[in-house]
Amino acid sequence: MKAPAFEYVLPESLAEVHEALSEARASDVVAKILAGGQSLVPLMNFRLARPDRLVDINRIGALRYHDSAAASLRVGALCRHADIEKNRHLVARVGALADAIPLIGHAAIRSRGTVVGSLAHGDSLAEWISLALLLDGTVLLSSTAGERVVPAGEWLQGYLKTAAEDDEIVREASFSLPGDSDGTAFVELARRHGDFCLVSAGAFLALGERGTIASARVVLAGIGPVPFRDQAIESLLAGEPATAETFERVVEALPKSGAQDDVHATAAYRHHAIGVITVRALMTAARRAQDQRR
Amino acid sequence: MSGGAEGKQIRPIRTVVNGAPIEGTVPVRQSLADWLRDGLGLTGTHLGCEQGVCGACTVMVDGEPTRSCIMFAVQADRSEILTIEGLAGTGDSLHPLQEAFSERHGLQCGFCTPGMIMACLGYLNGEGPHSRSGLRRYLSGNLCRCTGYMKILEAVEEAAQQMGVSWS
Repeated sequence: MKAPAFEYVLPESLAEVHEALSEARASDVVAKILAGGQSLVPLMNFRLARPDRLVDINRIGALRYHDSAAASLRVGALCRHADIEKNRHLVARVGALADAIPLIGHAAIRSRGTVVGSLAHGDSLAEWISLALLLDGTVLLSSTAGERVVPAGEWLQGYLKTAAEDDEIVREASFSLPGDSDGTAFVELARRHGDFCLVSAGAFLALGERGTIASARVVLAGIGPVPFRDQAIESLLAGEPATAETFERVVEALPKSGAQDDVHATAAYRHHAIGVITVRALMTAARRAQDQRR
Repeated sequence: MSGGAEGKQIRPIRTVVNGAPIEGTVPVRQSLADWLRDGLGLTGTHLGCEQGVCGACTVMVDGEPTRSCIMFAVQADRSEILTIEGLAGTGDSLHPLQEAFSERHGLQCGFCTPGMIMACLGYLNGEGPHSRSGLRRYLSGNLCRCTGYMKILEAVEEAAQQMGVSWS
């Protein structure tokens, strides 16, 4: 249970990271960015990942930031989960963040693991992947060739497979912050606290006149290869009153297939459970939106 | 290719461990836990799962509880590390957490204890509010197979009192 051999490089600037990645790609060397390492290093200890080279970005302090001054939350490549968790003002403003962040691993994982690293690693059950979909997020990639932005919906392409090219680093992730009449919530079901979940559900509700739902986003994970926005449910919610009756009715239309059986739970259990937690997420999001209007 | 391919790449690091400046070289693939144990002889830090799950290897890196089995020693360059050996300071007396774990039977076999205590230190040093339920959630990251946790919870509450940490 020790990591295999690798070559270690410690760039001092983003430009040096770009060069290291570009050089690696040109010489057919598998290079990985090392930020928090809380997903990558366990995989290396298991010998499930054997990168030739690690590019440690921890020396580049300028990448450790998060900024929620505008309508979006921008998160730099070195921002730890705990940096966001400790921003009480931000977390109080976005219910889904308050719900989801404590579910990411454990405190000693969140102190080191990074938001962007979670997105770059690309585990389909990771909380930040679902949050990026729920909060209409984007991923900013950069390389020697320049920058490009990938919408959250196009980011994850399969198991641990993202839209990033080998010579690109995820420099920043961005999330739209909910408005004053919006409510968000995130619920997951896991066998043990800190484990990857069986299923998770995120809800975003924008309330209009008389408390009806102006628009909704519902993000589901654990019942397909990657998390996704369920647009059928979202359109059923639009225009309806934000009540338990509405939510109980619309979850009848959740997908009935797509989950897998495994040692932790059957596919049927996952499909049942996601209905239950989707209602919970919608109820909480509705309550938060209503509280904000008062 | 480079030394990395044969697993022989080594780098110098400069750290402060338990208050003492330490300079040395480490193979880049060596975990912080292995360096503490094999390099410095600080075997109080235990290795359980080596995948970041059990919490036995928890140490403080720059004041933050950190899994030393999934951090490379080379990354500790320019950092300050606190392990269980450095917790009590130089005198004869124990740290209130150690004292309370002993008094309240917060350990049996003792394997999880160093990581458990470092994690609890992280909890008590962190921003409050501190509470029994908050501690239970926090300690979900540290596995103990002996005590059933109740004595640990009692010990931490006792230590909080001794340390002047408000408890609700």
